[in-house]
Order: sequence, then C-alpha cells, then structure tokens
Amino acid sequence: MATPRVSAVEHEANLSDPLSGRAPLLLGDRSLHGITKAVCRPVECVPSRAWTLFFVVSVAMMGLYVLTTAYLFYEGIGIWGVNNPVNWGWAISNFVFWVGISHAGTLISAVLYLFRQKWRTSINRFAEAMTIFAVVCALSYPTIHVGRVWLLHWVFPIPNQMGTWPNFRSPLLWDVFAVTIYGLVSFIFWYLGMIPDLATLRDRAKTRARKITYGIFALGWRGSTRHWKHYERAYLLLAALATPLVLSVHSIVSFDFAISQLPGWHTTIFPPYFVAGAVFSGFAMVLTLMVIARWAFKFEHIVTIRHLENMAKVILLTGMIIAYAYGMELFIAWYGQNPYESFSCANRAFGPYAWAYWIMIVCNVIAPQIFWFKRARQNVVVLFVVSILINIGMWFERFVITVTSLHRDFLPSSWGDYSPTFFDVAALVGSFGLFFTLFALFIRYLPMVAMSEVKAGLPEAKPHHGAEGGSREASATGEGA
Amino acid sequence: MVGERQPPRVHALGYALNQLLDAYGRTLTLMPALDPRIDGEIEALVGEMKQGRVKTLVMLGGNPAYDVPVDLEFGELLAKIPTSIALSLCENETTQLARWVVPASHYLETWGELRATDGTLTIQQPLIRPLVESVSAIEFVSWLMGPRRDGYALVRQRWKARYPNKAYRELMWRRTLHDGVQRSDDKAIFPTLRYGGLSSAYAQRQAAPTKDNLELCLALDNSVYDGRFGSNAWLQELPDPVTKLTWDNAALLGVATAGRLGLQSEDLVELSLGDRTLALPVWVVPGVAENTIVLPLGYGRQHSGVVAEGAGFNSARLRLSTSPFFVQGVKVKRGVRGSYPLASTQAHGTMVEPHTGKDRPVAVDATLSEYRAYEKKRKKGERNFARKRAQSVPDSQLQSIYKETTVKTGQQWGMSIDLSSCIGCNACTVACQAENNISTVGKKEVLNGREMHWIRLDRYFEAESYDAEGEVTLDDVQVITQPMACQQCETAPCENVCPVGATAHSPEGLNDMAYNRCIGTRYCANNCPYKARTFNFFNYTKREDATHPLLAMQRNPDVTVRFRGVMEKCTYCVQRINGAKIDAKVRGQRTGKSVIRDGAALTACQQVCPTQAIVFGDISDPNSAVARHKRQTRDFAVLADLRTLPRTTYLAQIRNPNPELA
Amino acid sequence: MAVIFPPWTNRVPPLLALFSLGAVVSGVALVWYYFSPQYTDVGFEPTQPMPFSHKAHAGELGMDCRFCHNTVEQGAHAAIPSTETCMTCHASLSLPQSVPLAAVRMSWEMDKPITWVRVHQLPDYVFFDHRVHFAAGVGCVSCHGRVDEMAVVSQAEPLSMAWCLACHRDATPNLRPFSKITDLTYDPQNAGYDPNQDPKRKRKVEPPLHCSGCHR
Repeated sequence: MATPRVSAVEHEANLSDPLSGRAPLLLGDRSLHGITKAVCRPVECVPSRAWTLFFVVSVAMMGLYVLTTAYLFYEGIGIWGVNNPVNWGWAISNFVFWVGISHAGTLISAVLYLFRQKWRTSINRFAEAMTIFAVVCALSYPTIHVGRVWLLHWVFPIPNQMGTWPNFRSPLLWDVFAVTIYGLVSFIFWYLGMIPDLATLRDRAKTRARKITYGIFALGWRGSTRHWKHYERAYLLLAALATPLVLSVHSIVSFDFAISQLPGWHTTIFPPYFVAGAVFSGFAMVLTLMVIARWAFKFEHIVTIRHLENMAKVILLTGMIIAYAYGMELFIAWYGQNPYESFSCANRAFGPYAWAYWIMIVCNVIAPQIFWFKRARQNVVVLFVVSILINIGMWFERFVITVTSLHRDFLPSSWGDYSPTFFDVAALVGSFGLFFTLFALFIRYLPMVAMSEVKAGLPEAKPHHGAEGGSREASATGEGA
Repeated sequence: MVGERQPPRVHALGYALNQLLDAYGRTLTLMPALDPRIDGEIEALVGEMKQGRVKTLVMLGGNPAYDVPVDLEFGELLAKIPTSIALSLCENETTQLARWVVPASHYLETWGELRATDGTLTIQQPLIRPLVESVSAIEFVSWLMGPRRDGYALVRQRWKARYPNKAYRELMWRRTLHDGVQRSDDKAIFPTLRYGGLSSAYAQRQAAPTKDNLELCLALDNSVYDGRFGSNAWLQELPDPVTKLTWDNAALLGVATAGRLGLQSEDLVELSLGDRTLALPVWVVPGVAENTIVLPLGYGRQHSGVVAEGAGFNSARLRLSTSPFFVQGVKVKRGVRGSYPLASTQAHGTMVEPHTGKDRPVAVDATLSEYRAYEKKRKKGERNFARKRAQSVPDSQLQSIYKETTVKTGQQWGMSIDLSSCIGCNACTVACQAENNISTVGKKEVLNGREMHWIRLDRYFEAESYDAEGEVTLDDVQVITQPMACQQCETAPCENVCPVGATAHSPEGLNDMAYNRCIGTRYCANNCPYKARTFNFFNYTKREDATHPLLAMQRNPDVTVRFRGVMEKCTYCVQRINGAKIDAKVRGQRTGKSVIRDGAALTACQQVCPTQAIVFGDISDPNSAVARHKRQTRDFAVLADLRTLPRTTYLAQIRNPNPELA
Repeated sequence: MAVIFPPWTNRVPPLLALFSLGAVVSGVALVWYYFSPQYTDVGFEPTQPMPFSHKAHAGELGMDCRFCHNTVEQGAHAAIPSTETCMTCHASLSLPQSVPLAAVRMSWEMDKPITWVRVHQLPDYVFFDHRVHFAAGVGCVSCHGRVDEMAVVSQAEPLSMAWCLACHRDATPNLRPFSKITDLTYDPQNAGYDPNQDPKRKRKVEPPLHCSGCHR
C-alpha cells in the first residue's frame, strides 16, 4: 500500500505556526497506523535495487578497509604518509572527524529530549544509529594507527605481571575511556529506545524467523503500563547520562591536541570549539543522509521540511560558534604575541596548506550563512548541497589542525611536509564503506524512525483524545515544536 | 694551510706567506716526505699501457677504473691487459674489469705497520680474525714473491731486520704493542724555498669565473670521500653538513647563479665540458661562490653492490687529468626534461620564518665585539648575552608557579655543546648510529622524512649580503651548525602524553625510553618541540639484515634492537652510564664511594667529537667539566621559553672576523 | 498476539548480561594468570643433553656456585662452564660405571661444547647484570631457588617484572652477608640479619626503579 506523498500545498502547511497553538509536526497520513505502515515498509518489503547497489558498493569499500588494514598490520605504519615531524596524518583527522559526526545523534536524542523538543522524534533514531556507526568508525582509527597493534591491550588498566599501569595523565588514555563509554551509552540508549519498535516489527512479522529474531531483541515487550513506565524512566536516566557526554567526549578528544604544546594546538578554546564543530558536522551528516532517505523511503510527511529547517538552524548556530572560534584563534595569536602562535596562523593561511585552510573557511563559515535566509533553509536541494560542503569543510578543519601545526613547529630545521599515500585514502574511503555498510543494514532491518515516540506526539496519543469526539487537526497542547 | 686540490702556484703562495709570517718551526712543521707523490705517475703508467708494454698489472687496493681522470681511459686500457690482478675490499668498477680479483683483508683484521707524517710508528694490530678468506696487501705482495706467510710473521720479520739483537727486539716489540706508538727520531726540515717562477705562474692564473665562463669545482665528498665509501650505507645516509643531501650528489649552485640561469633545486641539467657531458640535478646552496658549480665526487658508482647502486651521478666524467679539480668553461644546458628527487634532511635552511619574516634565535652566534660589549654592560642578575638572544623573557619569568615535582636523586646528567667548537663534521651522528644500533632507511624513506639519526646537525644559513634595494640576500652567508638530540628535558612534554607510560623520567635526569613498552601512538614525537624522536615506520632492521648479513655482528649487544612500531631517541648513552654505574657500585662496595667520576661515562658523540665540542657529565658536581661549561656566560638553552628545562644546553658561537676582511 | 517465547525466556537477558560480565572478568583474570611467567615459566624443567645433577655437586659435595659459574662476580652474564671445568675433576676421578660421564669425555675429546638447554632466560630487552647484584649481596637462592636440591634444574621464581620490582622496591629482606651469598641454605630473615648494621657493607644498596635501570 503506497503512502500518499505530501502535496505541494501541504508541504508548506507546517512551516509556520498559526496565531493560536502550533502547526502539526507531521503531515500526510498522521494516523497511528499510517505511521507504522510508512516506517515498517522499508523493513518488510523486498529491498529495492537502489538499496542493493548501495549495500554492495559499501561492502566493497569496507572490504578495501579490511585489506588496507591487513597490509598495515603486516608491513607497518610506513605505508601511510606520516613521517617526522608529521607523525599524525589522515588517520587522526579521520578519527576526530568521525567522533565529531557521532555527536549529532546524542544531542538530538538526549539533549533535545531534556529540552522537550518534540520535533526530534522524527529524526532521533536515524541520528542515533549514525552516532553508533560513526563511533565504530572512529574507534577503528586509534586501534589501527598504533605501531604495535598486538599490544594495544596495554592501554587498559588490567592487572599484569609487569606491575605497571597505563599513564593516566595522557589524553590518549582519556580518549580510550571517553569514546568507549560514549559508544556504550549511546548503544544502550539507542537499543532501549528501539525496543517498542522492535516489538511492533515482531508483531507484524510474517515469517517465523523474523518473529523470533525481532522477538529476541524486543525482550518480550508487551506494551503494558508497567513496561512503559520502566521504559520512560530508563529513557530519562539515559538521556540525563548521555547529555554531559555530548559536551565531555569531544572535549576530551580535543585534549589530544590542546594538552600538547604545539602552536595551533595549545589553545583553551579547543574544547568548546570542538564540541560545537562536532554538533555542526554531525547535523550536516544527518541532513545529508536524511534528505536522501526521506525521499527514497517516502516519509517526507514524517520528516518534514520543518524538521529539516530546525536542523538547519542548529547548523547555523554551531557554524557561527565555529566562525567565532576561528576568529578567536587569530585574535589571541595577535593579542598574545606568542611568536610561534602568530606564525602558525600565518602559515595556515598562506603556507603550503593554505588551500586546505581556505576550503575550510569557505565551507564552514561562508556556506552556512545562506541559512539566514528562510527560503534557503526550506529548500531541500540547498540543504543537501550545503550539508555536503560542511562535511567536506569539517574534514578539512581536522586535517588543517592536525597537519599544519605539526609540519612547521618550533625548530625551523625540523620542518617538513605531509602527503597522503594511496593507503591513507583507502583508509578514509574504507571507513566510509564501513559506515555505509552498517547504515545500509540499519535501513534494511531496523526501523528508521522512532515510531513509538512519533506516535506519542500525535493527538491520538493524548489520554483525552477521543473524549471530545473524533480527532482534531491541532490541539493546544503538546504538539509540534 | 693550502688544500690538496689547489694547483702548485697556490701552494707556492702559501709557502711564501708562511715564511713571511715566520711560521715554520713554530706553528707549522715541515717533515721529510715518507711517500713522495710523483707528478705524472699515473699518466706514465697509462702511457705504457697504451703502448701495450704492460703485461701484468697488480693493483693493491684503490679503484683506478673509477677515479683516474676520464681522459686517460684507464678502464678501457685495463680491460685489455692480459693479466690484471686487483686486491680489493669490495666489488667495484676495477674488479669488474680486472682479470683476477683477490679479496683484501680489512685493516682491522690484519697485522701491519703504519707510519704517521711525523714519522711516528705504530703497529697495526687486528681486532678479529678475518671474517672471510682474504689477504692483506703485505701478505699478498710477499706471497707473490715467495711462500704465503701471514701478516704477523711479516711484521716480525721486518722487526728482526730493524733490531738484530733478540732480547732488545722483544723488549721494543712489547713496549710498542703496549704503548701503541713509537716516537720517531725524524726531525723537522727547513728547506730553502725559491720563488723564482712564482710571479710568472701567478700571472698565468685564470681570471675569476664570469657568467659566460662558469667554473666547475670538483670536490671530495664529506661522507663517501672519493667514492671509496660508496658501499657504506651509514655514510651514504649521512647528510652533507652544508647541503643536507643524502644518497646523491648534485650540481651545487649559489642563489644568484641559479636565479640567473632560471634553475631551481631538483631541476635536471646537462653539464658539458668540451665533448664530455653529465646530466644531473641541481641543488641550490646559499654561499656557493658566484658563477661556480660545485660537483661532489664519489657518486655514480657501478658494480659496487646494492647500496651504491643508483646513488648519485659520476662527476668523474667531467674530471680531466689536466684539470682534476678546477676547470673553467663548463656549459649548463637547461630544459632537460623532468626533475630528479633529491633526499635532503632539512627543508628549511634559515632561522627566518616565511610569511612573517621574523627571526627565531634557535642557534645563537655573535661576533667577539658584540659579545664583549654586552657583557661589559650586563648588570648582576641579568641574563647572559646568549640567553638574552635566545629567550624572550628574563630567567625570573621562567619560574613555574607550581612546586617542583621532578624527583632528583643521585648524580644529575647533563650535556653542554659548544657551538664555537662544532665544525659540523657529522662524526657524532655516525658514532651514535654505530653505538646504538640505529638503522639506515634508504633514499626513499629519507625522501619521506623518516631518517633515524638520534643526533642530527641542524644547519642554519645567516644572510650576510644585501642586494641593490637593500634587501637581504643569501648570496653570502654564515653557516652555523647546531647538533640536536634529545634534550632530556626536566619537564619533558613527551612524558605525560604517552598512554602506556613508555617514556618516564629517571631520578638522575634522563628521559628514559622503554622500547618494549612503546605501542607506537607517536604522540610523544608530536609533543617534542625539538623533534628529537624518531619512529620505526617499518622493520628497518629486517630490511638492513637482508642487504648486510654481517651487520648483525656489528650491533651493540648492550642496546636493544628495535622492532617496527617503536619510538626511539637519544638516551645519553644510558648503556654506558649504567656500565659505569655498575663499576662504581662494585668499587663502592670496597671504598664506600659509588659515584661515577667525571669522564668515566662518555657518550658516543662526546667520545668521537674531534674538537671536544660535546661535554657530558654530572651537573650536580660543581667541579665536573660539564658544570664548568654551563657556568660560562655563553650558555643558553634552545627554546628556553617553553620551560622544558633541557639538560642539554649550548654555548653560543663567537666569531672573531677581521674587520678589514668583513 | 501469539506467544513466541515461553515464560522462562524472560530470565534469559539478565542472566546473559551477568554471564557476559562474568566471562569478561574471568577471561581477564585467567589470561592474567595463565599468560604470566608465574604459570608459564615457574617449574620449567627442560631435559638437558646429559644428566648433570646440581644435587650431587652443589648439594652433597658442597661445591660453591662460583666454581663453575665463575663470571658471576665479574660480568653481567653468569657463565655456563666449559667442559674444561668439568674435566678438572672428571679427568682423573674414578666413579662407578653407572655415572654417565661419556658425554663429558666425548665433548672434551672432540672439542665440541655440550649444548646445555638454558633454563633462566629473560627477554632481549631486559639487561640483567649479575655482577652488581652479587656486589649488593643478593643471594643466589633468592632468584634461583634451592638449586642444591635439584637433580634437574627447574626455574623456581617467575622472574617477571613485577617480581623483580618487589625486591627493587624493598631490597632489605633479600640482602645477606657477603660471605653467605652462595650459601643456599642461609635465610637472612631467620638469621636476623640487618644489612644496615653490617660493618662490611660500605654503601647503601639503591636498586634502580626507573625504566633505564634494566631497559636500554
């Protein structure tokens, strides 16, 4: 049964609020059953050829990652372009890039939940999945970029026969704990939130295999009041737990740079700058993927232009924070009169990697400015293009930070440069392959939208809904945001 | 002193000057020549070879097919000789052409006698038995003339002739073996020098080179010399102190000359002299004389093994017997397609930042008058002149607001390097490589910036010339070399960023590197402001062992051989410190004192430095050499503003230029 | 809603969670023990090419360790003796036929060393020095155990880094009078020995605790 697409008129229906109350969050078929049908359809139907192609290509890219990594373990770190002085190159830029992307999901799920932003329900499942997969991609980098991978277990504080502990003063160790916990909490949060939806899929399942599989993962959800009570409480607790992680995890990742003393790295603005950048790049990635997914899977009425516009507003805000941070770095370099810092800024803008710096400025500072204009915020094509530019810009930002400070630091005699090798590129492409493979599997087997949460925001879900007789288009309380 | 490459008239001028200065017998001594070099010897031989009069040629060492000037065509002639025998340490161009090749023993494997230029005699004693079946030169020559006898017997035989009395002979033999040397009775000579032909020879000298008449200057290379060390990977990878090139030679041009010819570094050009040509890349070096092309010899070796293969270009192609070292009239052809990658270990040659033009006073130098003027005006408590240059804040502002937490017990190790004494010879780099099992990485990896040297010579050009607009140019430069190794900082930035704690601070002030703990995250190298750490990107040891099977025998058993994925750096030769400490502790059991006395633990770089520029020892002992050095007013620390508190400090270079020459 | 899972499956997820946690913890603990030298090295008793009995020589005959392992006072490595050392006695001693000395005699005559199997082996990156431990007054028995009671030598102590550190952090219990270093029966704790009161000790023993003390 095809879901009716949103008509041109309806498309504009919820873009502005009426004088009294709020416009509805969802458009089109807003019935409970309609939502279920729309969201479960991609999971229950035979996958389209587009999906299959997407999946095969992603698996191929992931295969490239596996092969590159195997060769890396066999031959050594030298197959990458890293050298003395630039001992960290694409691998670490990619790591920070992926951790950054992962922050959007947690912000949408946890922070917006605590702020009671109901519009988050259409996109939070999608974004959270993206978080998990981005964390997986991110964690792969510190694992593979160490010189002796087989001894990586030494970073864990396990009792050993050498009587030694890891060095707790090192930011890399804080990373290990921070990102691991982040991944764990995000995963639990995501899974917990999915339980009612998995139960829906279990109940709608036609084959025994599906029934049992979804049944196992639905953990026996009955939809009883007791279950809902536990669910809501657990959800709230995890949201409260995950919220500080949004701020702390990328702050700790920024400490990888800020704790060192290299000019261009050693600045106190890094934690807020990185967190804002993380949200910025994360939302841009969500936007990129969501624009395609909502069109391909036909739920433009669940994830409406209003939702996309809200994301664009967040992007604009965090983009302005980033722009402020760039400006502040330049200001402090001038004001502080630290000769190494001033040179680092001049080198970034005019040195051998100036091209990367200016791409970063154009994509991160100039491109999002278009979102001041309402027309731009509500135009899907503009949203898609700008979000891609931002992704590119944010990758370049991590590259610029990592490489420009390293290649020219204190002693002029040690200055060098960095150029990526085929294996660096393969590792980046491969990580995208890993991400998209997981993503394709997610789209195929798990509900992309948090059905239960979306339904909870509908008028039909209100306890007193049927009392005044029939459904209403809009109610004064609790709908839309 | 006049260099060996100079023509006779310049030597004559030198003699005349020395006589005017009354130097003979005081600062210079002339000794009778032991092995007088006869001009034209090789030309005479070649003449005889051309006439076919040479039936048997025995070559004891050397590589004449490579280094005899090309116009003599020694190689072609050698190939035609019916019986040619080359006694050689390794395969080279000569052994390729000789009919017979006899492996030569290394001088450290055989007995012999050596005499220095002042007549001092020493007995060459072997350290090990020959590793392979080989003969020394004296063994070979005696074998040609009679039964085969080993070097020891030959040396003893010679002594028998010198000291007929058996008892006295034994006494002198043992004494010389023990002392190592035997002083000679040779006296200085004071020949009468006649300068009759000097003025006419001087009048015939060539004019200075002009832009239409470029001069080619063939120079012996700093590391491979005349080519004899071409198969030595350590020396091939040793950066030239001025050009910083490894594994290759290039046509060295000055900045102005290159600019005028429109050439940049790594551009391929074709040099031609008469009808002989050589295609090779250019390397622009500030300070090379104008309109001169310097061409290092010793590269472009063939048939000499994997190390020398493909390393550089054979400059001997432009070396004629009439002008073995200097010749004018060389032509440069530009526009030869492509460029050739040259592996240099230092990309930025000055202490001046690009884009901002600011100066980074990393290596401090001054003239004597500047130094004296400052020191005269310096008030008590003010930082010394070197620190005034190198630090942007006074010493008092470098105090931390936190309490000192570094543990300091026992002797405190430190090092002082005198930049005035350092001549930039690179001996420290090689000694460190030998002592600490440091691998060579090959040209490709040096191009990638991965050379493994623990101590390197940073070479900075300081511009001394100005162009027409008053802008500073690099045509005339001062060069200052600064040896840079791990500074063993008291507040080392590398220590707290290692996630597994592989680099910790010892109570004696050393920054310890535990290779077995390192998992290779490389954060320590990022955080080191001196970039003194090197990383094993590949298993370089395995690669080396594949090309040099005997290298495993060279390795120092007191130092760990590193695997890939592990960071390494200078350790102040901690194996030597530990060895001395164990000796001291054992001795201390008897005497109660277990302190390492000054000079008992020498670092390899200190031991080998020919000018004793590097001094290492206990800084907590006010009488130690290093403490005395650090008390000098020229003492400064590099990047002191970062408050790394390095244990290695430097003594600024003071130059005393003649104001009339400046 | 059809019942897919019987009621007892309700208990599975929490039990599974507990079980995984337990598996991880015990996995770590088991690996910690079974991969440590305490398990892998202690009790290592390789078969030697010929049955030399320390029990007979060092135990019953009371030979001092240094008679054979003579470099222990002068160098880092405590040498395994050459056949010549064995022959100082066994060239002329007449022993019953049952004692298998053929291998020693053959090694002497053929000038080929006996290929003893090394028992106490530290990794390459550990630089242990016997001389300085001897000079400090650490007994042979502290690290090698009661060799004089071993017919076949087996490793008595783990020789792991943590084990070495335990002594380096507090060496006093392991120090003994210099005359008793090779006395494997002497126990300084039992004898009430205090190294600080020993007049023969001229210096305080300060074992290194920093990395480069043993790793260079």
